[in-house]
Amino acid sequence: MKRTLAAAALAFTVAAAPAAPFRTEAPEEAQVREIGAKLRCPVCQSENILDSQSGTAREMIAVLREQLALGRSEAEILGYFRSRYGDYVLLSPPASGFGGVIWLVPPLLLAAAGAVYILLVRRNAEAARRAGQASQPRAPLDEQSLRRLEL
Amino acid sequence: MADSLIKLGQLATCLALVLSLYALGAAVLSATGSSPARLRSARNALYANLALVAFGCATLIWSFVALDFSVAYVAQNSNSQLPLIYRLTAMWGAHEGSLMLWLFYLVLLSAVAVRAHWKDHPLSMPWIIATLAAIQFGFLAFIVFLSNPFLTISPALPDGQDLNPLLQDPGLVFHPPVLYLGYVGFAIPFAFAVASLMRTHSGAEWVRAVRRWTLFSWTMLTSGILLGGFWAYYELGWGGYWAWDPVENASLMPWLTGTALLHSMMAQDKRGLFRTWNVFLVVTTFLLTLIGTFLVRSGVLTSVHAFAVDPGRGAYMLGFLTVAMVFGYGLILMRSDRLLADALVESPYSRESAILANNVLLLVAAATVFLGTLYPLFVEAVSGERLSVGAPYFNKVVVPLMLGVVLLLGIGPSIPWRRVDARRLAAMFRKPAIGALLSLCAALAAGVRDPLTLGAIAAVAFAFAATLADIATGIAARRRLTGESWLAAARTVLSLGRQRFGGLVVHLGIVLIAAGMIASGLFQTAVTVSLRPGDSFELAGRVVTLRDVSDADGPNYRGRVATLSVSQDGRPLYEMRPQKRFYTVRSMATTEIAIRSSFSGDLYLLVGEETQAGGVTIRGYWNPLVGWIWAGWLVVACGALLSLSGTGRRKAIAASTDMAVPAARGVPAE
Repeated sequence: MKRTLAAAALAFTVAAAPAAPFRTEAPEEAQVREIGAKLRCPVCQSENILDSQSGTAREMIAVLREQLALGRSEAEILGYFRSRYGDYVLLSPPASGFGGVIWLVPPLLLAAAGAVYILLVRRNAEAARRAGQASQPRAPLDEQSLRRLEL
Repeated sequence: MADSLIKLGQLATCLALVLSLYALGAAVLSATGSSPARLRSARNALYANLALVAFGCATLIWSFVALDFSVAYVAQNSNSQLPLIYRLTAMWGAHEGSLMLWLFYLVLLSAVAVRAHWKDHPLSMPWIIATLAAIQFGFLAFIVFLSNPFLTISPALPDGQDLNPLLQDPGLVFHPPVLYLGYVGFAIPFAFAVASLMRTHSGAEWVRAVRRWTLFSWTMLTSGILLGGFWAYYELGWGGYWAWDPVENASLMPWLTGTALLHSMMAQDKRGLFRTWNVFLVVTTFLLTLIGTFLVRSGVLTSVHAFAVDPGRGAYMLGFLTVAMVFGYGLILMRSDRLLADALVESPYSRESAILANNVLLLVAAATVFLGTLYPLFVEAVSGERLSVGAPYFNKVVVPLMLGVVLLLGIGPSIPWRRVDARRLAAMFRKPAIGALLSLCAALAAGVRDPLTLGAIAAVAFAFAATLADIATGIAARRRLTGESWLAAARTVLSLGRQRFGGLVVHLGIVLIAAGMIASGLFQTAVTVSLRPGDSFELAGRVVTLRDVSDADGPNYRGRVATLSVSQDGRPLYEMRPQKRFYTVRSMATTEIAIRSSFSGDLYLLVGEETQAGGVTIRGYWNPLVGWIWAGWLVVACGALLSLSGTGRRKAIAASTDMAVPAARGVPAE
């Protein structure tokens, strides 16, 4: 894939003489985008530092680039910003302290709702089976009648 | 003259406030005393309110058109340089006017609903009118006393402060009016639900009556949300359409519960199931539309402190919300003994069981969005600590739940009601399952390894195949039955089974939207480069070359435009011209994105700062399949229209075939 792209680019430069200088972005830019999307611009209304046009966000991106150049890992960089700006700067809240609730509640809710679903269906299926035995058993409808009723 | 006109508008709105109170009182009295004349008079008061509020809105719009800067709201949100089209739509550009639009929809839909159901629901009508009048009163009091768009300033300002530049866009013409129509539409099902609770008469009749209202509101809400995404996509310039911003979340919550409602209502209509649950969903959805309005309009989202600066409005909205909540949920609790279902979910392999599972997932998703949006406010209010819950969190938690919903979307419509044999069920889904497996293999071969991505691809492929198979089976069954040609069979099936096939078409649209979101969300490529004229860069197989950067001033802004040419394999394709603008009146910078759409994806270019050395920063994105989202919306809209156009389904069948159709159980509507 990369090779065909390079070939295409080459073909283009040959075709479009005078030869155009070809720019590629700095290799750490992908990481800048990935980490930048996880950091909130502290002076904006719910924007990450990539999308924000504010000066603070620009400075934070500059710091992010510096830290990447120093070879820091993502966790180290996020930790650095957290120590400077507090939990507020992390768009995905930490699982400790107040943020813990946010991570705990959805799985608990899903488990509770899932349990209710299973209980309801099982109990009802049981009741329906007993009721069915008491009266005459009803043959399930064949496919064609089902389709007709669906219409 | 203009001055007296806006005063008349204000007078009309005040009169509407009085009439809403009158309608409420008269309707409640007629419900307890049964006096037809009094009920008619309450109804006429609602009709009069439509005329009064429409007149109030008209005077406000006229003040914008005439640029009457003696009206404070006009002076704050328009300018003599503002083009006419944005002067017409500036009414809903800020707080006071957007509430006026809300109110206009409310009085409009109230009048339409009362007129449409007057004959069929004579016993519920007093409570329906009373509920709608009470909501009208709540909004009218707010507008008249706390958020008045008719206030004048003296002396008039020589010129206005201009409309927020971000809102000077065709997107603003459509997004808020459509979204609000979706919000307000849910007030009608709410009024019917309250009426059925007050009358302790909670059979399926009210559900049948409000099915169309719910579908209509849901369609508008869906359209409004997607239009908002579309607007954000080409106006805000971060390469996406959904940011999990609290304002967006506010509109997503009622959409999630409304979607759940749309499905579980069917279970009550066809099987008498989930009665309490449906009432709960109606009340919750309506409350969430109020919460959405409250969140966006009270300023609480900017900061808890902003809310405290102007406590009047926020406190009123919170109070209104509390009254609605206590009343709605209280009524359900009081009547819960009367809301027991006539039937049971008989088997896990049944349509009703699939609907229940869909409701579970949608409600957990709604609760998660609710928590993620409001919990930071709560934490800040109690402890002063500030916390952010943003896109990385919601993507991790809500997206898997929604994938479950997409999977169920493929399964649900094919399973019969009551129960089906597990083996038959497996046979039914063999083909879609193979389709999902094949696309999974293709994704693996293409090098995708992330489990969430793989799951997403499989779920979407399955749902797509299952929905198509479902439509095809329906047509084939009809063909076998009558021996018609494929085309004729398709036509009859589509026109007779509008409700069902409309639903399937909506599902198809949702699958397209999901595919577009997954592809553009997970496979976006981005590049940021600094270019000088003549320089090129490569993005998604295309070569983009900067030609020049020049001035591009407009009537109320100064602009710079970059001209870039795009080529592929040495062939020049087209030119793109992203802009940067500076709106002078508000001293605000915006960016105008250049987008080139195709079936496989969008090329999306932005121009950034210019350096002294003559270079300019260009940000480029390749957003795969993003056009599928907007195409999917069209399919959803068509499906919803098909479903809405359907007459009563039993009537249609009885008229078209000589099959004996068992009469609907129970009594007619009332």
